[in-house]
Amino acid sequence: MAVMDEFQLHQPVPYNLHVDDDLLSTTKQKLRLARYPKELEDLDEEDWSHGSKVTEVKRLAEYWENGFDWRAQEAIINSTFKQYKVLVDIPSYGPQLIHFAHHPSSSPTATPLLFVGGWPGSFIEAQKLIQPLTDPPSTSDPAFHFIVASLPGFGPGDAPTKSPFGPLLAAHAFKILMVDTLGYKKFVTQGGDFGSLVTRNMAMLYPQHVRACHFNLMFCGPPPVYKNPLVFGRLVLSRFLYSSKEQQALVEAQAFYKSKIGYVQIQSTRPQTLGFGLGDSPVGLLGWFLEKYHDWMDLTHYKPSDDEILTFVMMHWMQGATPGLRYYKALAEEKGKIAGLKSFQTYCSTPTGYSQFPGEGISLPLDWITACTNLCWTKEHDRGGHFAAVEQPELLVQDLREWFGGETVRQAVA
Amino acid sequence: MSVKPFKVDISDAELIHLSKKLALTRLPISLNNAQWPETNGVTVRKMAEILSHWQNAYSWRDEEAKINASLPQYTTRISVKDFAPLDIHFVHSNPSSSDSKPTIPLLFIHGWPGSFIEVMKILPTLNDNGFNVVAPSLPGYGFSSYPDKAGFKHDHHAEVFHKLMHDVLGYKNGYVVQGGDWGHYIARCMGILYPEHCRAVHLNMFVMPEPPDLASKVEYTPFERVLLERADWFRNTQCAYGMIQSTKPLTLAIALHDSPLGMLAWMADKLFCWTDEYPWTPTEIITWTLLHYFPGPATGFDMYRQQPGNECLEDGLAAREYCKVPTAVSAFPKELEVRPASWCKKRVNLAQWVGHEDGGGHFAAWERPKVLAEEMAQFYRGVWQ
Repeated sequence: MAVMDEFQLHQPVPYNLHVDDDLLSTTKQKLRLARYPKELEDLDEEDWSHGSKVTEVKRLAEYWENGFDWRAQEAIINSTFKQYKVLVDIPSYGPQLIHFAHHPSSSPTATPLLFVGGWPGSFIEAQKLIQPLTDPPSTSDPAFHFIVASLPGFGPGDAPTKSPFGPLLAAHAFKILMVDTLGYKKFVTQGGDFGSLVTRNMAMLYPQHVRACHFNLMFCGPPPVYKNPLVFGRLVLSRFLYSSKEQQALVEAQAFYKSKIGYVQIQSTRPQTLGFGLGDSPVGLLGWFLEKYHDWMDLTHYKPSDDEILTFVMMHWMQGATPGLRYYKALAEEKGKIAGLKSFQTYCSTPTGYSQFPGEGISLPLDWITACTNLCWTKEHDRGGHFAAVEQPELLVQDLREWFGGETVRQAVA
Repeated sequence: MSVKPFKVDISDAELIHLSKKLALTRLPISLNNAQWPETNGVTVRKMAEILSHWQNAYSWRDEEAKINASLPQYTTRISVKDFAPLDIHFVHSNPSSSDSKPTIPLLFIHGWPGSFIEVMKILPTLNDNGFNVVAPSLPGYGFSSYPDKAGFKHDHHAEVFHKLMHDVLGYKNGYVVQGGDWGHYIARCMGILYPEHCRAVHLNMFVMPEPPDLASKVEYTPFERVLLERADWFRNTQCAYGMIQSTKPLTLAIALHDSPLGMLAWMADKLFCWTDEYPWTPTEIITWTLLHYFPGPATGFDMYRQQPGNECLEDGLAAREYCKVPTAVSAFPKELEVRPASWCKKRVNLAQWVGHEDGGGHFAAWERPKVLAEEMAQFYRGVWQ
């Protein structure tokens, strides 16, 4: 990882992803020595409800060991993304290096757009968005200066050395990136997973800069009864007042909290304890992430290739898994009025667009969102999941063009 | 129903494989050598120390020899209603002296992340006091096999161990049981299911929700309040491991089956947090880790899926039915959940409740062997006719 002394504040230095030969060699040796448990015998071959299937992890691990060409993937990443690292100084925190890719559009009317993803993702999720957003096929389509920033600790984004570094600090860091480093005084944001928290915070902290938002995931719960009795009341009477789609969403949310939230709990309380294993065992990290790709992607409409999966895993394997896990603890420990999930208790008046992808684990009744956000535009899709930019890039691009190209945002950015 | 002598004998191949993996261990990278404090003590520095000991000084063969020398072990096959028969590994150690006192068969049941070796320190005192000590590996732990299908509950464990004592070892005049962690549920189930045979139960843990019918003005002693706070702390902040183990045991197992360091950290977390300043040596931590790593930790985790926390609290046999058999509770201050006497007597025929204010935690038999063994001996002798 880079040494901060070599950087000057706000001066981006071009960067090319390069994983050490040592790590690649050690990884291969570890894969050769991989040691697998037996499948849980009472579960069907296709039943992933209690964890990743050993046969599938094994299959991918064998490909990782024998066929996967990381250098080729690295080369693709470096030729696709114009990457930099820049030193920023975050108030009440200190210096931090930020990794990002910057793709200015040649269009004179382009709007700067910051894309922020989450866990277990990384900046490479934006791969299929760059071209259509910066250089649209038609002049009637809006164009964007496209920026994707890595959360510190994700991919090649240098991990923070102080605890905790959560969405609030990331929000400050990315504002400095956009405004003070790249000179974009007004811009729009696209956020999913942690990115949705980060960009929401940016909008609330810097409304003069973040002029409109787009999300493909919203974390808000129902508003408390005293804040919005009507919305709360609807929830209480959901059996009668919710549409079948909303009822289904509630059921799924409850199932999520009942049986799928273990990873959040362990990562928010013991990220390092878990990280020892996930940073030491490539098959362990592969299994941990594969479960999420399996559960959160709409696999009936998009199947990631083996190369894609392993490249996504490499993004966290590079820094030994723990820095990504720490985000959950940082989220739980952040202090302040809009820290963590308290962010949704303050109304965000920034014009917001929201794309609903059915495979997203948590899909909410819209009135929960409108209770805390100035939701101006939404679209429902019949395909796509959590990793929208990867799974359904055309749909996401279309949504971004429609929302950000519309009159509301045009006026907001002007 | 044959009983075969057993010695722990991990293959050379397995040991070589382990040492190759240890040599490749990748410790977390600390940028700028940042050392992050961890509330559970499982820091990079600490794990690096233990890892270094593991790579350079630790000898599994030495520890294996000690286990075999101090714990006479056997295996047998036991049938279970609705499941295929299980191979059960167990310690069986009889009193050596020919005393006029009748001997009392005693079953000691471990939990997670423990193992059969937890009986090691109390065994000599118990044998000396005239107890035939039996300490099995739970199905899915150590060298016992694992059920072939889902739905194996504490009552099934109870059935296996009753058969071990009564049918396999021929203790027809009854036996006594001691349990902590999973063992405490299983012991309660044995008291409920086999009251003619399981004549007394001793527990160093007691999990239960607050009884709805407590006397309206219950005055807790300061010690009881310590215990109540500890249980709240445990339930509210320390149960992530249970959540992940009961919902995604296989995902976790894939990582910890492959990473010795991973299993070490997962183990050390509990050894540090659940005990009362017990001075764990690197050797102890590594041995406890290997007793999960070698057989594979997956089935130990899966037990949480078979009977998750809310089931233990509400629907499980021990939660639903009253245990009429005389039961003793030993309350150590750093145990995760041991309820006041006024609560326990709602679920069991509480013969005694002993508070140990001077210290001790979850692994009582390892941390406070003398105190525990003497209390057990006295209690059981008092109840045994």
